[in-house]
Amino acid sequence: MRIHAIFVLFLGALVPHLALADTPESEEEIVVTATRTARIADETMASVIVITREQIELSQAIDVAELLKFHAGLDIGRNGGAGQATSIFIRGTESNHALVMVDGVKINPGTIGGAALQNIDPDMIERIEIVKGPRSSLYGSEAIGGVIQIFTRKTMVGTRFNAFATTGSYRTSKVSAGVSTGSDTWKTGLQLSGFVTEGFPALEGQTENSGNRNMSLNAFLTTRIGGVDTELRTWLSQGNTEYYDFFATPVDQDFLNDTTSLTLKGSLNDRTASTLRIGQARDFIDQNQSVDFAHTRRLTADWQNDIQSGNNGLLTAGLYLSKEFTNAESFGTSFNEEVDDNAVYAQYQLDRDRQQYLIGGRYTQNSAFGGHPTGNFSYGYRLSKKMRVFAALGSAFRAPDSTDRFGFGGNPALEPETSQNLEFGTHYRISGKSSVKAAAFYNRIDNLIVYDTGTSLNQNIDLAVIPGVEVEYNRTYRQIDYLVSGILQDPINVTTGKQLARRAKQSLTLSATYKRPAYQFGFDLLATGDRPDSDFSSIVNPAYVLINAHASYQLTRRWVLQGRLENLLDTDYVLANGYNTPGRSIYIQLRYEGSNKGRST
Amino acid sequence: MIRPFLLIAIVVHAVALAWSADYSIPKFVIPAPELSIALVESSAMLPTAKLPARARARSITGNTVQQEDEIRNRPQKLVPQLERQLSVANRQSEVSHLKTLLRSAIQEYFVYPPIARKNGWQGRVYVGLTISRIGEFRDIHLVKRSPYSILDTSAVATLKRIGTVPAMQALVPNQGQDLVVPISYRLTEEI
Repeated sequence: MRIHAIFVLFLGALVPHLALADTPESEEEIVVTATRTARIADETMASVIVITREQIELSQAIDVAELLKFHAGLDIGRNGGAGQATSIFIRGTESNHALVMVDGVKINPGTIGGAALQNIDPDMIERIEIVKGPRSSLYGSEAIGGVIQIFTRKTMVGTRFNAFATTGSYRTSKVSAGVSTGSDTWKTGLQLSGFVTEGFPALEGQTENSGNRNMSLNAFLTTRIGGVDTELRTWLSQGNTEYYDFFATPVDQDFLNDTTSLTLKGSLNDRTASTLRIGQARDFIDQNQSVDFAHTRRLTADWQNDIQSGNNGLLTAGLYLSKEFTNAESFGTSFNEEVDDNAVYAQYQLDRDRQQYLIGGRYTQNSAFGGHPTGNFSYGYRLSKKMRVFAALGSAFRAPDSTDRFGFGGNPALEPETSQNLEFGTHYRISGKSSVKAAAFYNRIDNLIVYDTGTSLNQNIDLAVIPGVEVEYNRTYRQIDYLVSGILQDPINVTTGKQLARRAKQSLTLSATYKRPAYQFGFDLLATGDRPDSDFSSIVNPAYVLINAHASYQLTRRWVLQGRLENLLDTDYVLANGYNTPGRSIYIQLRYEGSNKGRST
Repeated sequence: MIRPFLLIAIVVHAVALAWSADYSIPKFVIPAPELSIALVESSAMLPTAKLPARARARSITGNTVQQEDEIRNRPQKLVPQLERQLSVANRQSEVSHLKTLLRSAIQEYFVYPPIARKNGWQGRVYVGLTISRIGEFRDIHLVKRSPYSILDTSAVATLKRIGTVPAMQALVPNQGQDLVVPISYRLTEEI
């Protein structure tokens, strides 16, 4: 924590100009500063990535996966183009080892697979915070590889409008518009988007394009009444995705992903803050050429209390209640299940001049498997004003989902997958404009659920061990922002002896953006190593280099013209064997942002 | 299989550590400040020849003490209005001395309350106090609150915890000095 008091002013009674105005008294006051902590985790003791609204707009990414791709430690897998099933592998862990939340509400389905990142429209997003490493103490199941928290749009005082239109390759079009207004005590906003793309055939050797259409909505209302902050938010994404089934027949499915939440935040006294969040998340897929479908609906209540202890301590204690309804039919198996997952959790953090401590624990009671404890312990040490180090030890779990328990090979007696992780990290701030972060981690994931041909059931058999090293360097130099990050990891399934599928052992990303007041342009590069395609074959998807470029030009105060060139080198890369990936493609975008005060934001 | 990666981790950490040239140790106690500014007695007229060596160092206004004394001891042919202005200026320069000393003395004590940092609470609080002849903080009270009471109580508690700054003695007039201190809590973005 950076403590930085600059000045003291003593305004003696003798001095005539005694200024007690609200205007900043730059030289005449003590200024106590600290870095704003990411809501997801304190980045002084964890590896955190933050993606801001400004970065989202500059990148012009079509969906969240595109935004996350250019950070080392976040591998993306996708079966085709926009809208197709997308997986994220944080530090080499499984795609269902990433907990994804929208506005604090978990969106991972209760059926097979990871969160539907392909359906999240970046124009609904204000900010993304990602913490790598186990966080089950605070967030519960699936937080083995990390947690991705997506915050939807917010606004400031005044009335603002935005609108934009995109057109591009593969007959892609998108229109979006939003309005928001607010005062000091209340704010409200609405953002709507419609996206459609004809796409390209998801499967190699096929001719029918696999298109996607998506309508997204984000609305919010926040007020502050009587010292209580009230926030009502909803996010919705629905549409249709075309793809190929197991027999290479073109088919399509309708999808719906939404979250709705009500958050109340208040303080009993100056040392406490209490937050109650009640939410619902839905993840619905309905296949149109068969009776297959998968529906998850989850109701959650999370009551979290922060209590400051002394001058440097913070105790967080919470209660989490969740009721999950999963209903699915797939390949002849069907189920309709209700799962209750309730937990109590607590965390204590102590920040001293040089040392920081964090200890946390959670006890989960799940109707599928009973009780399960998890814990976190971190220690941070500030070597100097510029450099700090930390060590973290944590455990996490993934509850068996309804497909594991009642789908193909269903086994209701399954136990949770468990993990233990050890991490060391350093952060060195070279100057006000550059810094380097490094982390070494060792993740051990046990009781991995796989189909066992011996018993024809899913069993907790496998063990995976993933050691790795990550480095990230960022720098601003002469209007250019640079970011270089790399990861070396060894994701191995110890039980089979094979490298975990779809994950690379080496990955390097490089981003550079040149920023001027009237225009910006930049490129992103991703170089990734060989990846075995699946556990059932010896096919290896070869290493590749992918480069995207983007540019923005401020036409007038309110109008911006943007362009994005994807796959600049027209690399023919493979993420999943047999599936196509986008070739060189271009997208043009015109954006309008205005406010009623005649000043653009 | 783990060993090469642990080795790489150790090498990376060693390189980062070696690269760090900044090993300053933060102050945990108030150091005896090196007074590069002189003691200034506003009412006394000191013969310049008897000033101690350190008093010949420069004050915050850029004059040496000798020069300041000369200004102060100038023949009384000045217009009363100018004299008043000069006395205000002298008083201000003394207050500036107080400022500089106190800043270095107490800045390390202020801590951003963890609950405020986590919840994104920011604000400015005005605290009134009296510094006594011996540098003791007395009568610490809130003059104007900030939007979040934890910031108010933290600021007051910090000043109470500091208690005394003995090195202030030299700069505080006999009757003590009343002050209002604005303390601003601000959150910044991490690089």
